[in-house]
Amino acid sequence: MIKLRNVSYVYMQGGPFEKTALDNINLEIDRGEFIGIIGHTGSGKSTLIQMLNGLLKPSSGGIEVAGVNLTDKKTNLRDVRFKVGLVMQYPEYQLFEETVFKDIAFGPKNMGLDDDEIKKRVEFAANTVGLAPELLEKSPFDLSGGQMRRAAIAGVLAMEPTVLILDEPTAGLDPAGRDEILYKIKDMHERMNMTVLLVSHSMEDVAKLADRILVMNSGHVEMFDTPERVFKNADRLSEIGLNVPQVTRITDGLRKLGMPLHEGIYTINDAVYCITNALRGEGR
Amino acid sequence: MDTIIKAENLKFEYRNDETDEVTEVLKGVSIDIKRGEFVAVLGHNGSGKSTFAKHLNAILTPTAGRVSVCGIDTADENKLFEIRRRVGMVFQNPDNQMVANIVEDDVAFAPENLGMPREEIRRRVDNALAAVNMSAFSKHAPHMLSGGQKQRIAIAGVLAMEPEIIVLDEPTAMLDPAGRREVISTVRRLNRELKMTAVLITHYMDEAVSADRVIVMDSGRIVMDGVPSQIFPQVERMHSLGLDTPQATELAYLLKKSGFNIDGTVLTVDDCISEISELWRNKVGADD
Repeated sequence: MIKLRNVSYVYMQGGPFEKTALDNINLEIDRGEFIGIIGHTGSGKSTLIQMLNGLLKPSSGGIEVAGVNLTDKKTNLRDVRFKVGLVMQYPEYQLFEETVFKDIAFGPKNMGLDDDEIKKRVEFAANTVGLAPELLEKSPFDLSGGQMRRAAIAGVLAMEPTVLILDEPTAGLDPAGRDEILYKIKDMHERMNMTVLLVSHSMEDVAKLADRILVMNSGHVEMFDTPERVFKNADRLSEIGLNVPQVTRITDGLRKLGMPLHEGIYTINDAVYCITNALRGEGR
Repeated sequence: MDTIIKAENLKFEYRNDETDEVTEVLKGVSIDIKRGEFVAVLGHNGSGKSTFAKHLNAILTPTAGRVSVCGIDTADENKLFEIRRRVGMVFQNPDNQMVANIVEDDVAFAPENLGMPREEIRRRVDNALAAVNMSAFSKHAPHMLSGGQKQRIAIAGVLAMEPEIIVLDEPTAMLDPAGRREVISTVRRLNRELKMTAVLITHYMDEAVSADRVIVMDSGRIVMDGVPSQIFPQVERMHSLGLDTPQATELAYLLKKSGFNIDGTVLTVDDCISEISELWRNKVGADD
């Protein structure tokens, strides 16, 4: 679904502040995968995702998304943006319409869909993110913070993109709001076979959801593997400004003290299961 | 210890001009915070915690009831500067809090506005930057710093006023894990070493664990108030309030629920490891 070949990106090339944000990235992501992207501030995550819908063009290398070659000059980037939905950080600041309905309808309208189809999509998207129908006729600015965030995400969903990219969709939300949005995204991913890329600073969230985790560090791909294998590298992750979920630190500590627990435990349920087995098992 | 922040039956409401609807955000908050305390305030979005924080330096004043800081009634408009000088605020987005092109100018902004003599400003800026471990960056451009560094500069800007209280409203929401660690350890150090009273509003439970006291707000009221080891083990109550507990606490809670004899009040990774490893040692001893 997504293919990057030798992709580099240099900011202010040739100038005194020249900075290489991405250095020779090679990646392949399959249709329907749920990818978590982690990395410290400045590691290149945001540059990477902005390239995937053509907001930035690589300084060198090739990018193919959903069968479209983004680096080909003949490609119409407008079409690409309908296929690749990008939810930026704090997307609620981008709400602008008179009503929530109109705001969510903005994307589908630009795609040239007819009114019935637009209405269908808006209602579906609103329902998917958990916005009550009566909110659709309100001004987006009368919504609560969490509702605004959902309306903004619905605006991207209404375009029914094949690839959905979210840059920290839960920043600033409380734990219940965070879990609800993440659960909705996971649910959509499963029902619509959407390819999802989720950028997050929360290792716990990424651990819960992702099939594979892409770890970025100083413009390079540091790791790209299953959560279990990625979270085995607690020391390395900490060196590059990241960490592992608390449960991973606990089970790692216990293993060092001799408990028979496997490496890379990253969810509470798995930890409870493994610890219970060890404590109830037949000796060592 | 003496009381430095006092809220008595604090109520706050606002009226929507178009619909004339009145929204009651704070429905009677009463609390005493002692000088030198480090208090974490938790609550879901809309629980009233940010509104409460804004009452601490008179960004908002009560509709009813009373708030006093350092003995000053925040509703006294003549004392506004006095209050703002004593209570410093740090917000979520570091980029919105930067006003200058050079770090030390940014930190000097408040004392300059207070019209202090040059030498005094110099002393305060140097002290403030040292307190957040950013002295080496005094001549840097703020926009080139990492998120955690920017937030530490924002904290230094507050410290330059030499306040008695620092209020932080979700200061780590936009930061990566390393940035979060930097900011929280800075706050903890200011509290321990400079004895500064700190009020930290956060959605991250592991940050609240390092506070002396945790206050939980729900629908405009304080519903829980205690030391972290009293609050977090109430896992189901916390979930019902839309909140979390640290994974260490939740793990201990679930093991206890499955019948293991484990202290349910653990809060940190290390405590959790030592509790479970004791169970393990007992088991291995019994097997031998």
